[in-house]
Amino acid sequence: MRLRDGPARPFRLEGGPRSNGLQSRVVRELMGWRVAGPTPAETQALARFVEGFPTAGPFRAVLEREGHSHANDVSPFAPLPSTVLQAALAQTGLFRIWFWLASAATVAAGVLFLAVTDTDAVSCLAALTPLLAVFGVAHAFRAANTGAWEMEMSCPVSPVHMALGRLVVVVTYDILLGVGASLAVWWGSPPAVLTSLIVTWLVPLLITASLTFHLCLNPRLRSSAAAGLTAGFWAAQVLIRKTGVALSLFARPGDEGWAAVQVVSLAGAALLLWASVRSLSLRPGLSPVRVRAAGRGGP
Amino acid sequence: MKGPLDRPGLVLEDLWLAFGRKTAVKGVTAWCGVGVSAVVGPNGSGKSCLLRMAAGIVRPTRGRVFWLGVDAAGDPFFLKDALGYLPQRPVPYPDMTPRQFLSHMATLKAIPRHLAGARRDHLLAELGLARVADVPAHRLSHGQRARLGLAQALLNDPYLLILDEPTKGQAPESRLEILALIRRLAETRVVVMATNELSDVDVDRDRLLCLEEGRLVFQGPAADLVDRARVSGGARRAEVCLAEAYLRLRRSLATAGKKRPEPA
Amino acid sequence: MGSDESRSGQDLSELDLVTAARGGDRRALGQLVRLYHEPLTAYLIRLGADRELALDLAQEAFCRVCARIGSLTNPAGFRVWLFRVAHNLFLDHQRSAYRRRVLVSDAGAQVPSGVGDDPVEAVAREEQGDRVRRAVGTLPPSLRSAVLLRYYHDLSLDEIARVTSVPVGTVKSRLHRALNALARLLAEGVEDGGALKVRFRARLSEDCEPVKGA
Repeated sequence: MRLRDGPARPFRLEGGPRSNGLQSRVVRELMGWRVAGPTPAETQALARFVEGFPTAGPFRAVLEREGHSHANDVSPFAPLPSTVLQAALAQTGLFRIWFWLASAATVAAGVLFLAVTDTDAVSCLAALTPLLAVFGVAHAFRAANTGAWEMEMSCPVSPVHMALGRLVVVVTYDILLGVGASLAVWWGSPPAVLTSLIVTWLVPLLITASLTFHLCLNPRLRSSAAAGLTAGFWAAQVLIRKTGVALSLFARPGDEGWAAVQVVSLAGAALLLWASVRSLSLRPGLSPVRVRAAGRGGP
Repeated sequence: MKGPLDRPGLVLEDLWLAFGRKTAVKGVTAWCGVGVSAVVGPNGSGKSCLLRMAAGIVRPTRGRVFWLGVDAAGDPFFLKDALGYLPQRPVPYPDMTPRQFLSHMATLKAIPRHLAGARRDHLLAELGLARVADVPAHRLSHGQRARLGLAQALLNDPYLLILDEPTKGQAPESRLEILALIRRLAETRVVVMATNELSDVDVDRDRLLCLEEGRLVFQGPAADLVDRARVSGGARRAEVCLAEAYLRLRRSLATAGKKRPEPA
Repeated sequence: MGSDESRSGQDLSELDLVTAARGGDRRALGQLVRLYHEPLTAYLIRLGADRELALDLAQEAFCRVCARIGSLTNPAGFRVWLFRVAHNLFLDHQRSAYRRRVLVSDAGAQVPSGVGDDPVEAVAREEQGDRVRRAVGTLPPSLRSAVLLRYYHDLSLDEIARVTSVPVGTVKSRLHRALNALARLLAEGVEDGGALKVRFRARLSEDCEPVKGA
């Protein structure tokens, strides 16, 4: 059985019979060009190769008919830029109910605390929201560098998209909570004032989230250790602020160098994010391949 | 780009894995076709590292992995789409129940929701986890967690199964059931299985890949290793079992120095 | 050539094969390889791959398509899918070759004549084939692929549109331009040489489409 290899039926070109005459002449000439295709042995070898392909069960047939492969639009793993968002939406089930409730309750408690005391709202929110990000990101990556992480890495999903998707969930939720708290505390303030107050806690949130993200992806650290290290960084920033030094992560609007601190901090967050993504893309190992001494489990 | 044409399945071409000062895998070239390919070796021989590279979880320092003629480095999704992987320590999220964990994994494997539920429930039943489907994973036994890991590997009914010690920590009855399931799947699929239990290997049907300090020192039908030991020992085949054949291989390596394996 | 009847008979056999392959029949897959290996390789060679590369790309296209044959919802779309995958693999290779500044090969050389052919006719045929090869080789890949798919592989306009991921109107326009260019080139004659390769590479960036169809 061979496919037909010859002049095709001419289609109607614009321009009428003269064009069709041109087409026929060209097609006749084209048919004079023969190329050296595969030998029968090469075709036979390839045919036998595909005949040896494995088969799966009936569920796989159903799955393939439903078009579940990564190229499908329905899959969360379509090409960027929608992929990170879709990966985020696909992984919301990873976050347990107590994550959503605990984060919201913490912010609500903070707002209530501000309402009944004379505590400075700016400092309170700026100090509180980064901690939310730290523990949120640690919760999202609680299985990083464990067997569950390996199982996830074996799925047809980009590790970068998967990791960024989780980060997006945490940061987006924390930002929404922070904006809600800011509106509750500063309702009626001019937009410019409200914006600068939001930036005061937003930048520390972003940098602590990026730092925790980067540390969680380190194969030598558990997520709890990553959270602890970032919390230590956060505590150091609070102490620096307490000593009256203006150039701290928790600088207030109006402090000398406030704008510069925000810009540098944002750049730092971006750099950490870039380094994390790069390490996911290039690193030889994504799983706990720390070498153990022979006789205790082995690589 | 072009993979070897005579061997459909999983082809590992000159794989190396080095990190820090240690080289865990040294120049492994192997083929795994339909059926079970058992990877054996002492602790620290590089079995898990090799399986991780084969599954595309770890990027090799050097070398390539081909799945059905396609280079996995160029398109990792092509391999992972067909893959079911069980790690050596299949610890799921401790706060998730088996039902929740399998739902999460089904999402990552891009299984449509309307199919995922039934598939998840089927696997929970098949692997004896139906009764603990709603128990948080931190309260499951080691064997139950291992079976949960196997269930997630089977979610997408894969063409390629890479299993790192699937029978580890299982009670004897469960072990036999799991092996029977693996053999059934291997009738039409490519199964690569690392094991420390030579009794898991079917001498008459399985291929054997023996690793020693990161190098492949034997690959081929397990029966060939037994025959080789029989011939070299002057004994009848019935008197040489796989374990003994394997021990003889290791002893010969120890006395003669490390050798490059002959291709099977 | 063949009549419409025999063509539909062939198509039915092909449909049967694809349907069987989708159902897990691996021998049917082998038959599909035997059916399409030569035309697919010829397409890639005429598109601009040398023989080795064409065989590599054809092999990869078959492997990708055969591994996912179960996801083909319409058996009649097998040919389009296969050519689309091969087409995109070729474009991917061209892009990476361009970035590496590797010399892009011209379209495949004419097959030498066989033993027993009339020598005068054979020489004339070879010359004609070389003329066509050089003429087609001057076309940018987008026009070239449209011509090849239409006249060597008898794909419909809609099928060409799906292979090359452009609207049907664009396919018509490309064929129109290609035919006019070929008519002029074949009448005037085309010189082989470096200038052609430079022109081809200069057009590469505007004609390469970053589409993956696998």
